[in-house]
Amino acid sequence: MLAPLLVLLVGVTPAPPRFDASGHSIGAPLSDRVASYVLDVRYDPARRHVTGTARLTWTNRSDVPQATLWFHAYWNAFKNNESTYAREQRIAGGARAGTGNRGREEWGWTEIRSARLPDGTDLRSTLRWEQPDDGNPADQTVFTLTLPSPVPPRGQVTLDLAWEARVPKLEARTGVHEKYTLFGQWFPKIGVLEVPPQRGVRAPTWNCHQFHATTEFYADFGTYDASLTVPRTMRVGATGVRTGQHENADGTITHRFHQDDVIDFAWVAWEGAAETYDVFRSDRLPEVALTVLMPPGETAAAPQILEATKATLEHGGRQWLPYPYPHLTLVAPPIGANIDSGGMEYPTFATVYTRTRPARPRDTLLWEVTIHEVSHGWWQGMVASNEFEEAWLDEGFATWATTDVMNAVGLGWDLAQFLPPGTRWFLGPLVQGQLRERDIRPPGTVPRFESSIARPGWRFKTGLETGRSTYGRAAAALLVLEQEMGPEAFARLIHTYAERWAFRHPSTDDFLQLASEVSGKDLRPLGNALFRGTAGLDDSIARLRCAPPPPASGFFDADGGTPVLRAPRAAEAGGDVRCEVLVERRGDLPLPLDVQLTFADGTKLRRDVPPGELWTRIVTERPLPGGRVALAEVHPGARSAMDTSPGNDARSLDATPGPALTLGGWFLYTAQLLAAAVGSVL
Amino acid sequence: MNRLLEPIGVGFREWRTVGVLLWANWLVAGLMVAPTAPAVWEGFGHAPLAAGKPLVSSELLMSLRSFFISGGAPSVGAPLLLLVVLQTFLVGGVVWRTCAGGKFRLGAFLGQAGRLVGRNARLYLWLLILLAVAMLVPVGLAALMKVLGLRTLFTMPVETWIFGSPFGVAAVLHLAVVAVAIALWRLALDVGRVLIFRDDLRNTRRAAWHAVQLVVRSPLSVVLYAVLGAMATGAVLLLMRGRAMLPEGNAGLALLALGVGQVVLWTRLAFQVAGTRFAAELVERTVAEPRHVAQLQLPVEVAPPA
Repeated sequence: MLAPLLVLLVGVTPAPPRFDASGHSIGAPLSDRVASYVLDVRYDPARRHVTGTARLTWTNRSDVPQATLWFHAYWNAFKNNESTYAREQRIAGGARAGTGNRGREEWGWTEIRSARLPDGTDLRSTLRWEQPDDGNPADQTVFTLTLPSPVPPRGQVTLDLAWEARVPKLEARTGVHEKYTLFGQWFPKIGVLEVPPQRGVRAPTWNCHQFHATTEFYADFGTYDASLTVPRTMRVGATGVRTGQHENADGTITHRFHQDDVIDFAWVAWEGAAETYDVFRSDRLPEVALTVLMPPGETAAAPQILEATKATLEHGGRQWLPYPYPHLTLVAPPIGANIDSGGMEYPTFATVYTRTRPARPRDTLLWEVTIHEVSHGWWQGMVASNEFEEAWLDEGFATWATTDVMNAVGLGWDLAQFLPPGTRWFLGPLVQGQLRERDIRPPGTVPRFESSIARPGWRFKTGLETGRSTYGRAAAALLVLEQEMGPEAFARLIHTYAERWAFRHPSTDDFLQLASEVSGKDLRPLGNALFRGTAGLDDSIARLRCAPPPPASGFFDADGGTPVLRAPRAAEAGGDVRCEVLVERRGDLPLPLDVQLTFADGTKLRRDVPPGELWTRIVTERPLPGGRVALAEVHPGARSAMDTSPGNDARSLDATPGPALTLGGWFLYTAQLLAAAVGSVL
Repeated sequence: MNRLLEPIGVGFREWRTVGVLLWANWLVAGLMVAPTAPAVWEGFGHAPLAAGKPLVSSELLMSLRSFFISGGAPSVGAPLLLLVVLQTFLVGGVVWRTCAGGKFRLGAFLGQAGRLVGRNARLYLWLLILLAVAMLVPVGLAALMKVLGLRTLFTMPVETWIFGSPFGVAAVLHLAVVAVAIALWRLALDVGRVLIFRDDLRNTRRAAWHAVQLVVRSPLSVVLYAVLGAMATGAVLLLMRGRAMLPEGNAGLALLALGVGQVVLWTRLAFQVAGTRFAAELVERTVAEPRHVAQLQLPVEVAPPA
């Protein structure tokens, strides 16, 4: 009854929903629901204190009985400055703030108060802190509980956990900033028991890593039902759908949320937050209710956040997989909390950015982060890769997906929009431009990178290298695959990958296997070079020069075979011209290299450089005047996405003073301004 | 208003003086960018893919680092040191032009500059003390604002610059106080230079002290000098914006942009001369003319004996 009415009103026929209005799935479950939680939590912001209980129902998917269960207690990363997270921050740095010197109230921790079976059997005494990654005894971000009797194969166990926690100062996308508290990775969460052939394991293996400075998370799908009690003055947004709320006599309010088939639960409690609502409706795609929480009085960005979200749901829904969840919450943190908490993905819940005065009509910063985080709803939210060990499978995909959506909506990067309001009008033209996301090159200036892409996050040389490898370089590597497969086959690959691996845990091998299957050619060698190797690429035309061939001189055989001295003669006017083109390849990425020469008379000559060759010299000798090589190019018409210096991909015989003068003149002008500025204080 | 317009008029009429300053600017800037020239030519001198594209763009700015690594990085430190020497030298000539007037002669300009360079350098060092003292006011104000929960442009978190709106009322007012403090110091510096020239003072400490007294007793002049600085900044920013809006694409447009860029620099340097003229006018109005001033108005065209 409702659907036809909707068609009449808005002219769209939405797809049938996969979840009802309370977040319960309609029909068969979308996931295997290995780990489900009923959470009941009370938050006291004055004391930064959380008390909670969790009833966990866990299924042993393996053929082996499991007596020891592994858990995360992520907030203990903020317990002291000897946690693995804090140590790694000091050594390798990272994108997140350091634990540094904290005040007494700024540390955070999680303390397991009790762990029981439903029959009352106490498990708390079996708790052991584990450090599977680095053996750091001061790290308490992973623990185990041992059951009196193992969970049988494909059997279930229910545990009742109670814990207390101190909420840390806002850091690494969780914690308190003034009246805003973001709860990410905040409850005792069970690890993932990987079962063969999942991600290549040969025997059932717990995958439960410590909290590192440069890693994110990994979890099984399940059902989450959460009751969140906070002071009445606080607004709450959370994963899933709000299914009820009631005010308590002590001045608090309890919000209840539910969502089936998700891998995590995050929420925000925020005094005085403003809320904006909307609905995504599109033909043959499920409806998604949207909520944006923003700082009070800072709501100017809300329309753009909603618009970018809808663009992503539309594009992703058509190109990748329809977004099935009925509700999506976006949090734009208060000014002062954007760097530490903005730009983070959780299931049906993401943090983006706030801009007091966004650029119009489309603010690149707002759109980019919103598209990126919403696209994580697919890449890790549904296609639930292991962010600890193969971060590129979600960050690289989300970066590529951001490219995909930004190209679809015709949005480029404009650095002028990064300038603060009040300065854009005069500083803007200095950095103007509409750089397409796709034009952004892989980071690095040398054709060999410091790390492979597909490796555990804590095994990169630096935090910066983690980010560069798993985001931009991984996205560029996906573009290389697209160039190899062609756009249509690649689109089919992405769609098939999302469809086949949604609500499961794929690995790099799974993706490359599927790429080979879809393309019909074995892409694993290239994929391994891209994602498991360190080879980069810089193909260039190193030299182009033309000159008359030197006149023949010396002894040459006459007709009868007798050597005859030929005296040197001046080059004949209107004779031949000899052109030499030197093609260089720096980097070992095994990609084909083709060269195109365009002659002055318009004719073209194409050559393939043999695989493995690091340079090739092409020499032509043709009659003047049309025989001059006017232009030499590598990868004509489609530069390689991994090429670190596309500017040297082509070289003309004639000088191009325009670009050189433009750039040189700009350098000179900038230096003059600097000198004048310094001179004004002398 | 005339106290502002008259110096500006002098600044723009003294085109030869501005020309000398611009020459020095070119020398310093040229030395800065000279190491990049081969890389620019190598990278863009035969680059058909770059022709007709907006080079001064996000794309270029994002890859400048790799460009400099593959080519020659600009040199900054040594040319700026040269700038310090050149500027300290040339201000003597500028003061001569703004105080004495008359016909411009390059030899006389350089002569005056050379005669005064030592004293001007010592004066600058003495007046750094005034700068430190003057800056205590905005620093103290910033501390007070912090207690009150207000932020200045200098104590604002980076995040406010990116996501928020940094130019709030309190921040702008604090910036104005900073500008006045700098204006006070800068005006004292100009006044001190004028006094040294006008009274041929050898004792630079006394000249500095006299300049400070004179400036402190004339708060209106400090404010007007700050306004003059704000006008210079506004004019330069406006012209910079005009220059940035020029299209790119070929050599002609590149040369046009470079030419307009010189107008920007010319304006900035003309206002520098205007500032010195403002100080000279302040000294003329408030200090009795010394007996030997006529002798200092060099060079003087002396008529041959009859």
